[in-house]
Amino acid sequence: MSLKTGVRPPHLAEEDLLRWIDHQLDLEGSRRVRSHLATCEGCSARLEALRHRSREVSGWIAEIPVQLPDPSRRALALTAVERARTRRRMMAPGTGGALLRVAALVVLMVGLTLSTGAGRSWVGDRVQQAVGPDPGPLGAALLHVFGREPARLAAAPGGGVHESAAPPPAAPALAPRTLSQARQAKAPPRDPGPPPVAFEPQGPEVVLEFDNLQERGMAVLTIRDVPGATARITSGAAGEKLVATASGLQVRNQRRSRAEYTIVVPMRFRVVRVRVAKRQDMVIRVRPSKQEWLWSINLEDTALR
Amino acid sequence: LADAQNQPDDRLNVTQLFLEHYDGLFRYLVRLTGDSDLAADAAQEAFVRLVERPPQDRHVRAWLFAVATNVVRDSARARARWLTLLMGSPERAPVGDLPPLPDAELESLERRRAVRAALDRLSWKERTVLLMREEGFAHHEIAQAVGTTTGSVGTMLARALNKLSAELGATSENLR
Repeated sequence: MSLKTGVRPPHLAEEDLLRWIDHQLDLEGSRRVRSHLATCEGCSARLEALRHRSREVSGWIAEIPVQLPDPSRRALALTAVERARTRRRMMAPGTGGALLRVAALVVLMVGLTLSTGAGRSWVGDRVQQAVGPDPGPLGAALLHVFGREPARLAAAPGGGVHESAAPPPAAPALAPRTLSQARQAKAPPRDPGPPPVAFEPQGPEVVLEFDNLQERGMAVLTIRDVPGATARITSGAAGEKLVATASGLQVRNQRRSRAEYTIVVPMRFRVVRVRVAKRQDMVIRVRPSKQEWLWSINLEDTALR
Repeated sequence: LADAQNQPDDRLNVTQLFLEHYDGLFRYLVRLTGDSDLAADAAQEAFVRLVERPPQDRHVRAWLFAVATNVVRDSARARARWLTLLMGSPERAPVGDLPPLPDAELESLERRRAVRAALDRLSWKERTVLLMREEGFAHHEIAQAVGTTTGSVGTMLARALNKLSAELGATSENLR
C-alpha cells in the first residue's frame, strides 16, 4: 500500500461554474471541473446556487413583454432589405452594374461637354464625321440637335468634288416618328395577361398559398375597401394558375416561374395568411388603419439563380 | 438551420434569413433597449447591412445580433445627447399622461418595470452578454459581438447574474 500526498486544487471560480452550466468548457476544462466537483461540496453547492440564480434571471427576462412588430412594419423592413438587394445587384461587378456605372460616367461626361459652346461644336463635328454624307433619319436628327446640316460634299467620280445631287435627308422632325413607328412595328402587342381571378374565402381569414418559390418574381398584396377578392398575373405568365379555394387562393406556380402577381383583399377579412412553399406563414392582421397598404411578397429563390 | 446555410456566400438567401431571424433579433433588441421602435429600426438596419456588406467568416445569426447591438448602442449615444439637451430645456419633452390601469395589471407592470430598471442599471456590456446568452449564443460568439475575450464573457455573465439576482430577488419578495 502506498500513500501519496498532494495539494488540493483551488476552488472553482464562478465563471468556470457558469461555463460548466452553459457547456462552454473544452474537454480538459470539463474534466478538471468534473473532478473538482466530485470532491468539493462547497463548489457543488455554489454550482447549484448559480444554476438557481441563472434560471431565476432567465424567468425574469422572459417576463419582459415583447410584442412582435406589426406585420406592416415587418413588411416595410423586408421591403427595405429587398431594395438593398436590388441596389447591390445593380452595382455588382460582372453584372449590368458595371455597365450602369460606365453609362452614368458617359452621361456625366456628355453633359459636361454639351454644357459649353465649344463642347457642343466639338461633338457636332464628331457626329458629322461619324454619320457621313448620307446620315439617314437618326443621323439627321442628331445633326439637327447640334445645329448642323448633313455634309453634301461627296467625292466626284473624276476625283473632284461637287455638291451632291441627292435630295437632302428627311426632315429631322421625322426621325423620332420613324423610329417610333419602327418600334411599334417590331414590338408585339402588349400582353394583358390572364384575366383576374375572383376568390371568396369562407370565414374571417384569407390564405394565400404559393406552391413554390420562383426563379424570380414578386406578389403585391393590397388590402382595400373593395367588394371582392381578386388576383391576377400581371406579367411573366408561363402556365401559372390562380385557383380559388375554400380558404382563399392557391397560386400554382413552378420553381422556374418568373411571373408577377397582384392580389387585392377586401377590408372585411380579419387576417391574411401568406404561405410560400410550405414555409412559415406570414400573418397580416387587417385593421382599418392598414387600408391601402401594400405588402410586397418576395417569391424569389436565389438558390435557383 | 444547418451551419452551411448560416455561412454567408454570394448566394445568401437574405429573405429566408429575414424570415428565420427577424423576430428573434427584434425580441432581443426590445429587451436590450426597452424601445420597440428603436428595436425595429435596428433590426431592419442589420438586415440591410447584411445585404450591403455580408460577413465573410462568421455565422450570420451572430453577425446580425452583433451589428444590431452596435446600431442600438450608437443610437443610444445619440439619444443620450438628445436627453441632455432635453434636460436643459424641458419644454421640448413630449407631454401626455398614461391612462389608469387596473390593479392586477399595475402589479405586473411594476414587476416588469423592476426587471427593466435592473437591466438598465447593468453596464451596456453586461446587459448585452446576458441577453445574448438568453438567446442561446455561445460564449465565443458573445465575445465577438461585444469585442472581448471568451474568458471575460464568463466573468461578465457571472457578475450580471449576481447583480440582477440580488436586486430582483429582493423586489420579488416585496411584490409577493
